[in-house]
Amino acid sequence: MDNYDDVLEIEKSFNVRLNNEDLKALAKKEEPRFLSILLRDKDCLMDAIAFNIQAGDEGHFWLPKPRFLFMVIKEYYTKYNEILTRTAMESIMDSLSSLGKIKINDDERIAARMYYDEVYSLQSPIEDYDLLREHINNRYLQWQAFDIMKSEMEGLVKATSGQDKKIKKIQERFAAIDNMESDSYCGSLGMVEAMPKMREYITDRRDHPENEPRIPTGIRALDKIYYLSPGSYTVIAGMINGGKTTLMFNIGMNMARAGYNVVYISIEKEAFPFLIRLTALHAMVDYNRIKAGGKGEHGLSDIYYDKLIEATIDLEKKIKPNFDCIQAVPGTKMTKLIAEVEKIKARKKIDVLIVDYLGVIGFETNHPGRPDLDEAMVSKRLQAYGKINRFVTIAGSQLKTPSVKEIRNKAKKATVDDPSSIEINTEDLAGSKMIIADADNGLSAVLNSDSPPTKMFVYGTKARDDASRGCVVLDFDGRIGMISDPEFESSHITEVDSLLYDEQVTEADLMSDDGLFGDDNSISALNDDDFNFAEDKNTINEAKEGFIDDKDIFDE
Amino acid sequence: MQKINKTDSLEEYQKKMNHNRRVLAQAQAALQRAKSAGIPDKYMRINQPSFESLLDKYYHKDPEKVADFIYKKPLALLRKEFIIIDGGEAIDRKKAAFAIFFRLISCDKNGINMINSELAHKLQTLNRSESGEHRNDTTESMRHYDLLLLFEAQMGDFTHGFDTGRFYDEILGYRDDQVKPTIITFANALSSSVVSETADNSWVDQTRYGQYMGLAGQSDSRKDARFFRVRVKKNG
Repeated sequence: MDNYDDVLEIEKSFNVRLNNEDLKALAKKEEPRFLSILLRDKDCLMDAIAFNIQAGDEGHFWLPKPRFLFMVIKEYYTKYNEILTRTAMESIMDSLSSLGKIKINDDERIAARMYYDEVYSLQSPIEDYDLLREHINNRYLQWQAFDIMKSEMEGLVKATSGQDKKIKKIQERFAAIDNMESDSYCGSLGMVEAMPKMREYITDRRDHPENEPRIPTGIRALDKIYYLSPGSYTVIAGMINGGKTTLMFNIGMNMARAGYNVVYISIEKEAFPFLIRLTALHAMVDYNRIKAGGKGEHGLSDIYYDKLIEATIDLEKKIKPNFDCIQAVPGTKMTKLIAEVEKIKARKKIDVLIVDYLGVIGFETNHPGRPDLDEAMVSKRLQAYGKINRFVTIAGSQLKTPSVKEIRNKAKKATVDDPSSIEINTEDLAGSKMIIADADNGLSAVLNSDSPPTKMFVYGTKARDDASRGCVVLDFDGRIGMISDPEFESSHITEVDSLLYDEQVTEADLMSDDGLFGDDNSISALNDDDFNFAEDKNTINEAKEGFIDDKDIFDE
Repeated sequence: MQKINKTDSLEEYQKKMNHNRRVLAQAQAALQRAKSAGIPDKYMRINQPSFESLLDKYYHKDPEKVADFIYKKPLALLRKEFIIIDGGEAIDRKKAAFAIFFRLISCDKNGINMINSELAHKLQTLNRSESGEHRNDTTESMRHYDLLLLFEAQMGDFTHGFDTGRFYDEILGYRDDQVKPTIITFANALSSSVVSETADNSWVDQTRYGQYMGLAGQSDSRKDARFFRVRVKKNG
């Protein structure tokens, strides 16, 4: 390709960007490869244009020939919505008499056609596209930054007054660097191009419904309604101490158990106590027992201790690779949180990102008197980050204080059979409407009025379709922090009845954990130093009875 | 409740514990709801044999069947708009009423109980009470409970010249429409009072206690599928 460097007159107007030969060598190698993909793959071409790859003198390309070819490719696509073919290139070059003020002669036309052929023949793999785009964009950023420094640094060094203004100017110029925002995401898809894909998709949905690209929450009642697909953004709202953290960590834990990589950002709670809660949930032990400690009545009796230890081993073996908890203090900014997520992302793929919760993340914008807009910006940033990285992103949010009392009253009237009194709308959510307006799903969680609460009502505050509207009733066990599908229906109350109407079972028995271990069984009976736990006792009795019977037979 | 053994694997233990926790939580919640609904400890958890022993076997013919229906098919009972308890002594009516009330509360329902004269008085009070509650508020709140238990309704509760009946109709009519059971114990049938007091001015009494209360208080409402009648036996 170097053979043609001097042939194209148009090159003479370009200056060398950076005095870095290695960088230039890399550009020489990568830019044609990048273009080679754009000449063959329309999706990549659309992405490059959407990504704002610039064709001009001060654009992305280091070398003049790739810069020229990209300009032609882009112009052609903009006009005809197609990739640039060899024939199209021929006709363009034939009709092109000048490029701006520069006249193009026949040699240059030939050189341009030959360059097209060379690039096309490279046949770079399409899989390299993302990497090449990233490298090209990085060099573009580097050049822009260098250009600012080159033009501003000397002035700053020599300045004897107004340094603050000069620095501010440099700051502003740096802030205005083009294509710096890595979160920017844009794409386009025409109806006509989409239809063949649509046919494939519909056929696949029909033949393989299990291939649906979404991550189940592990709670069937929610999965029936909500689609948490990669790139989606879900806001879970709730009142203070209203179970939204419990709902989020149950969903996270279920997803991790199913093999997805989950990152949970806990801003309010410390990571270790948070993980204790997860362990308690896995062992189905009241979290307060761990807090109380000891071997006493309210502490860790042998059975609970054994199961907790078993649970830690189980979690270590099965879950740990899939669940990471990032601990941050309230006020931590999104940039810092994203940096922490990036560290995990560098080690492994992330499928799910859960942020608990939006209100405690530090603002990076400043809208005077409008903190709600600053919070909305935090939410937007998180949503964009999740979308680009194809995470299922879930963020917690608060309900508006004036709405809380009313919602509590609604919850008092709601029952399992008729939760229709629960209605939580977008205006009941704290902060800016933009948060819920932009989200793909909006769920609001409210606990029922039982003491302790036994049900959680999850209302579809924001839904893409009518099927998602309405209320889902879930089982809630606050002591172990478990939320699950309702196992009981009103008709399945035989066991509850037998407890309620058994004269032997006192109210104190009902309120104690002792009853959890089944009939004639108790925590103390399951202690290590107490050999006679129920099953053994029965076995011994049976054996005794058997022995007596045998003796009787022998006597006879 | 499923029996948990020390030797159970973590998976088995989780499964059983999950089941047991749910059962226990439901039972605990039922007790809490019963307490919130105002059932005194003395009348809590009245079992089927105790309830059955209260029934008037001359009226019911087969008291066991009635008790079975209440205890074994509470969901069918929940589809009855009115459960009327009469006959016998006040204390037995109260016991029977609380037994049924508790039975239905244990089916994930919430409720409230009130002496009828107290409710009638609230609805006759035109101004706001000291607590700031207006009779419209009372009407509104009484409508929405899953279960409403009214004790000892009688003619004397409904004072002449008041429009209490309209409010009763609003409460009971809404509950009737929404199939929310109302349990009412009657000291005696309202209809007999109507006949004896104002045979030719029954519309006056309709205004006093309302159409629904009038229906519920008739001595024989067995033909109406919305009503379920329980008659308590007389002592001795």
